[in-house]
Amino acid sequence: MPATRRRLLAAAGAALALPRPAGASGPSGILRRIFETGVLRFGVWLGAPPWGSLDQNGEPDGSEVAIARLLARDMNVRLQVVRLPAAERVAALLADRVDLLAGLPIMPANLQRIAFAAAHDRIAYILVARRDPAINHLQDLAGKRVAMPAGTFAAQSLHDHLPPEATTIFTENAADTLKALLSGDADAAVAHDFELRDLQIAREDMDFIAHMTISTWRMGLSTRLGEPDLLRFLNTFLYLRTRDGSIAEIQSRYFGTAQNRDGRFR
Amino acid sequence: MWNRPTSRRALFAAALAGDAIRPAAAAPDGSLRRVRERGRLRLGVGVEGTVMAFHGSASGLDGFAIRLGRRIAEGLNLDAEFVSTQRLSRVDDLLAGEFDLLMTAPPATMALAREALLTNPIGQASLVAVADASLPMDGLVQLRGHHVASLAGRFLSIVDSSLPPGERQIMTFRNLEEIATALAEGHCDVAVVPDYMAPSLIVRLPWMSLRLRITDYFLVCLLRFGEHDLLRAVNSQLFILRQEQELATLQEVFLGRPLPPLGFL
Repeated sequence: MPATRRRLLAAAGAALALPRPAGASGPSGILRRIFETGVLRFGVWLGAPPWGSLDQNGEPDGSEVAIARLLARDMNVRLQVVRLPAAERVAALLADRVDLLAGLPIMPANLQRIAFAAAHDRIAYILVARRDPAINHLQDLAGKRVAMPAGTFAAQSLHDHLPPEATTIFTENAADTLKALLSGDADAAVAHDFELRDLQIAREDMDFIAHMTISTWRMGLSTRLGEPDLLRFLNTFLYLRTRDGSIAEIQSRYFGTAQNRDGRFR
Repeated sequence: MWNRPTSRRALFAAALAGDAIRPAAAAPDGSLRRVRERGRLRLGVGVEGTVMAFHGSASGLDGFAIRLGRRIAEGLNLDAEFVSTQRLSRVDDLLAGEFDLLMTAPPATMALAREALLTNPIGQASLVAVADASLPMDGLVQLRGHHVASLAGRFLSIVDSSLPPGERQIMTFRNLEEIATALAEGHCDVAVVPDYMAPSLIVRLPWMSLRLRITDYFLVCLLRFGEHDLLRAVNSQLFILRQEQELATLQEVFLGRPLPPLGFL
């Protein structure tokens, strides 16, 4: 007699839904601990919408949080979102306060310290200002007030290259950076490309344009070096969930467009 | 010597998989050294008489998984040793060390990724519904109310997640023969199986036909956690076989469909 669905699902659940107890053939390192504790500690900066933010109820939100929720579901564990200041993210990972970090730019400096999964997103910082006068070189910013979100990689790299006559205004987050520009407290602002797109749609009366691209990076989830089982699990997750459209659905929800539709195994 | 495919593959694979590209922090895990010292790559296959693995007339085992397994072993300068495994125990047999690489793995799902390492994709298959030609079967919703036969074990994971919730009864069986018997005896009226199994079912039950393509899924091989040196070597071979169109040829010949862009490096 064929087994009933309920009995079989129960059997399948025992084999599949619950992580296999770690043993000789189980995963090692952080992945093993995640399965054993049933908790994924996910570090994210919540001052960078739409990647990471707080919703109207004060709950973590954003595309990276949504991806983390999907990942935790696929791991069959509970998600613990750990709110981190931008500048403390890598340190928190290295100090074992979190298991994973939300998407960070895949930069040479980071590659020396942490291990990235396959890129699932991109980030482009541009310099936004009124159309006139034209800003073709960083020297053109001499005497200008330039707003930028503190603790970001773009702010770090741009600040070091500004002419000494320029004034840097560090803001709390990307939204405050644009506010400084709109209120006239700044002459130029470092913004994400999609933020300018949104601004141009919302405020057709304002003549802001992108004068130059400051930096473009691919972004990926990251963990500590020496965690091959976890890294392979992440890459498998990113591949399968990109291929089935789950990642694109999340990014479309937060950005209005999918950042990466071609899942690639690394 | 350089023009011989095996040598070229072996050298290329060694370069891709070897110490030269391993990050400084990653120590060898011993998995590749183990199979090299043994001289044989032990490949787990479920010989179910489908295009994946079957007993050929003269040359013994044949099929998609058999040919691919031989090519992977050859590329690593190893002999291929096929180890028979059963559908319900194949992953457990891998984890117990019965073989190095499971060639006839369940569909690639995140549930499977919690149990073992998935290689890069080796191909693609579809989940299809086979039913009597007289049954209305234009969409998934029409599976409601039917007794659906499918394969037991981890394959059930993709079946259950692909079918809409509601009034449906999934009955699972150990193999295609049992599904055919259940359909013939009227215990169920629809079978949800991989597309490459559908022809065998229709030959046994000529009044049935392939009625519905439910979803596509990736075929992968499976290794134990921790065996990343071997995983890297196998993925290097898959890369070469894809570049040289052999993966596409195997897919066309045995699975009867073109190889889609698999998107792996």
